[in-house]
Amino acid sequence: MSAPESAKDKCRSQALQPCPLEKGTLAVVLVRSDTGAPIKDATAAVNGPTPGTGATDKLGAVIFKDRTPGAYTARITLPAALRSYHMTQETPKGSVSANNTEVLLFKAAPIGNLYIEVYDDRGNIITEQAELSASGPSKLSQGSKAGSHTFANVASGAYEAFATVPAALFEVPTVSKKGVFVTEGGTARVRLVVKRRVNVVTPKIEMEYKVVVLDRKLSAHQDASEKKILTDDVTYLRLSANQSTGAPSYAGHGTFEVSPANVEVYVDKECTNKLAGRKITNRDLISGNFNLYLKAKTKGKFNAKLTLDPSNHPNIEVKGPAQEEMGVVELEMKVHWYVRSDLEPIKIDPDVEPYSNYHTALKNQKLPDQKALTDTQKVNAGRLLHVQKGDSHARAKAVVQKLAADQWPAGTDDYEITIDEEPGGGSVKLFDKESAGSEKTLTHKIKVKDLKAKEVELWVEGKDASKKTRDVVVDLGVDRAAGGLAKTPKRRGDWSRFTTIKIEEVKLEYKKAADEHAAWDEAQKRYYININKKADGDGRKITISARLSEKLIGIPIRFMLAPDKDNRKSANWNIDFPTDGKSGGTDVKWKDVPAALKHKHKADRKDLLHLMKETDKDGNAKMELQLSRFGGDKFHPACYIEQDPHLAKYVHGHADLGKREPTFAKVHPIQVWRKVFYQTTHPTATAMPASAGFDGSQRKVFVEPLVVQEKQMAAADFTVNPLRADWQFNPGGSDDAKLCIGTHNVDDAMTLFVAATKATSPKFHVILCDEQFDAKDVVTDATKVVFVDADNAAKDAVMKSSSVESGYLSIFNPPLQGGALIVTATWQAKTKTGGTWTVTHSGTLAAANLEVRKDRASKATVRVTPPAQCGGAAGGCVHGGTPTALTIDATNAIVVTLTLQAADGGYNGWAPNGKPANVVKGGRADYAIHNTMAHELGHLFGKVRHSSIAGIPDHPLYYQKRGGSGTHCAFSATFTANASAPDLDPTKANELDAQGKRAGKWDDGRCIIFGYSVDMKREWCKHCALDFIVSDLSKFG
Amino acid sequence: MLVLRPEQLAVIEQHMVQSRQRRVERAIAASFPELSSVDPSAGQRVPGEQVKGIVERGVQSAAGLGIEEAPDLAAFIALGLALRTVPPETPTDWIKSWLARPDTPGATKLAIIEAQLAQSGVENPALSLVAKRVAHARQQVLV
Repeated sequence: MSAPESAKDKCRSQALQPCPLEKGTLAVVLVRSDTGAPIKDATAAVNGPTPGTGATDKLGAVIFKDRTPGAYTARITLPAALRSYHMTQETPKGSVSANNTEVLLFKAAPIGNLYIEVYDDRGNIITEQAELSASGPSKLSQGSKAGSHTFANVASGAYEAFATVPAALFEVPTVSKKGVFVTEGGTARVRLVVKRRVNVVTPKIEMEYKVVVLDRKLSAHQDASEKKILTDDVTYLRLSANQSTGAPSYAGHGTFEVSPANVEVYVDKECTNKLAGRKITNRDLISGNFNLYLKAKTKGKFNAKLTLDPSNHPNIEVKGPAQEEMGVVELEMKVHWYVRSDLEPIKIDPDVEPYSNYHTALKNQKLPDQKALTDTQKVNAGRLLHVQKGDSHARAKAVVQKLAADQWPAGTDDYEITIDEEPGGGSVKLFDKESAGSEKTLTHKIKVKDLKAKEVELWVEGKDASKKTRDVVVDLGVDRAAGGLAKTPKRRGDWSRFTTIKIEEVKLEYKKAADEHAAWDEAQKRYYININKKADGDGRKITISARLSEKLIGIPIRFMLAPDKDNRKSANWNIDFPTDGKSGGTDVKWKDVPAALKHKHKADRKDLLHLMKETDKDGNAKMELQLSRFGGDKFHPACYIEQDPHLAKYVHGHADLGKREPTFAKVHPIQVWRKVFYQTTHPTATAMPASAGFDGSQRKVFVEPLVVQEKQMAAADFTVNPLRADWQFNPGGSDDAKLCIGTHNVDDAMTLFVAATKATSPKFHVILCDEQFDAKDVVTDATKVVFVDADNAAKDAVMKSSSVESGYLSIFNPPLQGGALIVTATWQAKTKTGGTWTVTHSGTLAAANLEVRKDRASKATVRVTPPAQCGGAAGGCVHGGTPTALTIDATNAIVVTLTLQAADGGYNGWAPNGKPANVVKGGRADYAIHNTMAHELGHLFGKVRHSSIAGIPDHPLYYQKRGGSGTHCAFSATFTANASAPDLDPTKANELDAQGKRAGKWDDGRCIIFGYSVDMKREWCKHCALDFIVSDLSKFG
Repeated sequence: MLVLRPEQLAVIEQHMVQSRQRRVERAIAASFPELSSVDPSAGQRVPGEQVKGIVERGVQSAAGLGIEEAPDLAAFIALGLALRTVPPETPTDWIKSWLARPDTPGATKLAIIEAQLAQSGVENPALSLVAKRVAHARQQVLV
């Protein structure tokens, strides 16, 4: 161990702090850089605080121990044999610190040569400026235009050789090769290859679409004055020539062709300037934004080709023609509509039994299919739709036709056929089903591949009303996904016009004339069919109007009066139409009721479609329809368009046919009513009772009574004073004066009647009287009154009349009809001789011998006083001579024969023949008066009807006589036969009885028009009510 | 004045030897994680029995090569471990030659070896990696 080393070891073992005496070590190491092998025998000289020199040993090292710490430098001198070596790494400086070893590493290597050459990909050495270099034991670099360089005498070892060439001329500007080993004395060769850039010129056709839409020339059908609706039948292409490098620049031009010539080629988008075989200039091609415009001419595929002129330049490679398969495609949409000539022949008989069979037939009636519009019709007529409300309106069938696959080039399967509408006043919606289904939002798109497989059926529904006819245009177009050239969706490859209308208002148009009474009572929804002197039929005619939301002309509107579900039933009629009705011996069902009496809203009752009218310029249409004649019938006026033919099958209240509704009138339903006007005339002293009871009864048969005048009457109004003391009418009565109306003076009463005008027709006269006796031409039979024996004083005689029913003959004095009480009054005095009575005197009874007395027992009773003497020859006595006193005893008698004016009564009421009058006895309970008023009104209208009318049920309970005067109703009445009474033949005029009763009497009837009064308010029975309901009440009789 | 008797010095020296060995073990464990495990309580790698054995054998080998100081021991043991991982064709004889060189202190030999390893990167990446692991072990002892 050397001294320094011992000191060091001492220091280490004796203290932790560095010993100031310690030195450091400097090691110089030399190895070969190419092999790592140590180089021995080289001289290492170090300078620093403790300089030294030494030769490298077999490990290539010289270790200088005990060096004073500090900076050192080292220098290597290779041994002579290795003088050609290159130092490849030198660490000549270092710093020695105490207790540490500083290592200065040197590397050297033998020399050799490195040859680098650069070729292009065509096998030619490059002549362009290049930088040749290498990295490894030495860093080498050399610029060259020769394409090669030899790096001579470079350190041996592994190198990576590089060549960097101009980027503009070569695709990869720097190429290299690793693992190039330069051996001692040898020459390593490296060949690098660079690929030259070539200006490849490629023609390119870019397409807005691969298809051009064919113009189906629908616009040719448009009116000359219209703005043409044109197909987007132009697709543009962009032609270009792409240069891969641009150097050398390509200078050629291009040629564009299409084959077959299914399109015309234009250079401007307005398609006014045809390409016409001209070349596409180089500038246009290189600019990359040159467009051509292809206008469809003939449907079918074609080939678009861009061919570039060839180039002679070796570094320009012109690619072959760009070719694209394209197609001129036809789009077609068949829009369908209902054809009137298909609908009008449909007949469904409504007059079937039961009536529900009609509804079933309606329901089962299949509507004809919608038929396709022609192109002309799509343009000039357009499809009409009603703006949808709920599900009530029909949709138009629109079928997008299957695409012709041979027109569509490859790559277009994902193109989309668009269905859209042009903005306009109206609008539509699209659905996938005829009803319900899913809405297809516009723009609706269908893949081309799907349409190539099969057609697609869609349904168009009205959304918003058109402002003008045919202002909605639904069209087919083509679109594709985004990408590539900017595109504009192609529209109107095919199109159809639509008019969407909305029936805004339906109403009953009624304006009464100045001389008429209002037949339409909107508040009560009643239509009075029998007034204003309109005969049956005319009075039932009403005008229904329809107003569109927009002023569209020429829209066909169908008008209906939909019968209410409860017609013919109690709910509407208060009675049911009888199921057992007969007319004569023939059954009468509803189907048998004459059609003329039923409502009319079709040209033929069996038609499916209703009457039609087209709208005027203001969008209005009016149609005259006819209500039925059946009081209580309700109708729902409504309108629909012909393109909603299912609405012709609308049935109110029907579970199926009532779901989809036409446009109803603002006010509905309309109910059939009649009205009668009347004047009341009553004695000054006798008030007219309130009419509620009377009105109520009539309203039950849909007759509205209306008082239009009220007058009073007094004696002065009559030729013969109609007033008599009460007792004359009613034996035992008072002295109160009572006004009597009867056959004798009804004409006088009628002079107070204000005749019916057009506005008050039909009108009748309610003449309220205190008593109702008929005296015209009423006289008693010649009645004998015999005075004989003790019966020799004045006495009462009860007059008889074979023309007046028992109990009704009445003697008034003065007679009601005026004139003398006595018609004839003669007497004879007879004397009995030997059993034989002989006339001895005779004469005329003086009026004074007759007396109508207040205390008489009956109203047919008169007091007769026999004559006291004869008148002699001057008095016309058969005895002649002078007046002779007359004796009455057992053998002398006086026989008086009287014929008097009389009256028939009293009655509660009377409907005078031939007069619209209704004579009613007052002074009774209101209900009794109302009964009589209604009863007599019934008579005025010819009730109770006993004659048969074909198709209308007979009244089954009418009767004549048998307790009444006229024809009455035996509803709920009981009959008591009277075998002792003169026989009555129920089939004989004036003796009729619907139930075949003979002599006898009906009692306790409950119908208003039962034969006599009873103490209760009565109503019309169901038979009489039916007769009112079905009768023409436009006039009396 | 404190006077230590020889037996006292022996105890102290024994303690110092053991302390040095533990430092080396930690350095080796940190530089060769594949040979150690993590102590969850300490949150660091701790030498396992394998490392302890390696270090113990390494110290014994180093003693014969004049390598005594803890950093040198760590570098030496790390060198031995790292060289096990290099490809067979890697030239390592020169390292052995240097270690076997008799007249040069262990620290100097290691300095020369480590210097040459550090410069071998371009030509021999495997040795460059050895250099890094050796340097890391040496550094760990000083931490």
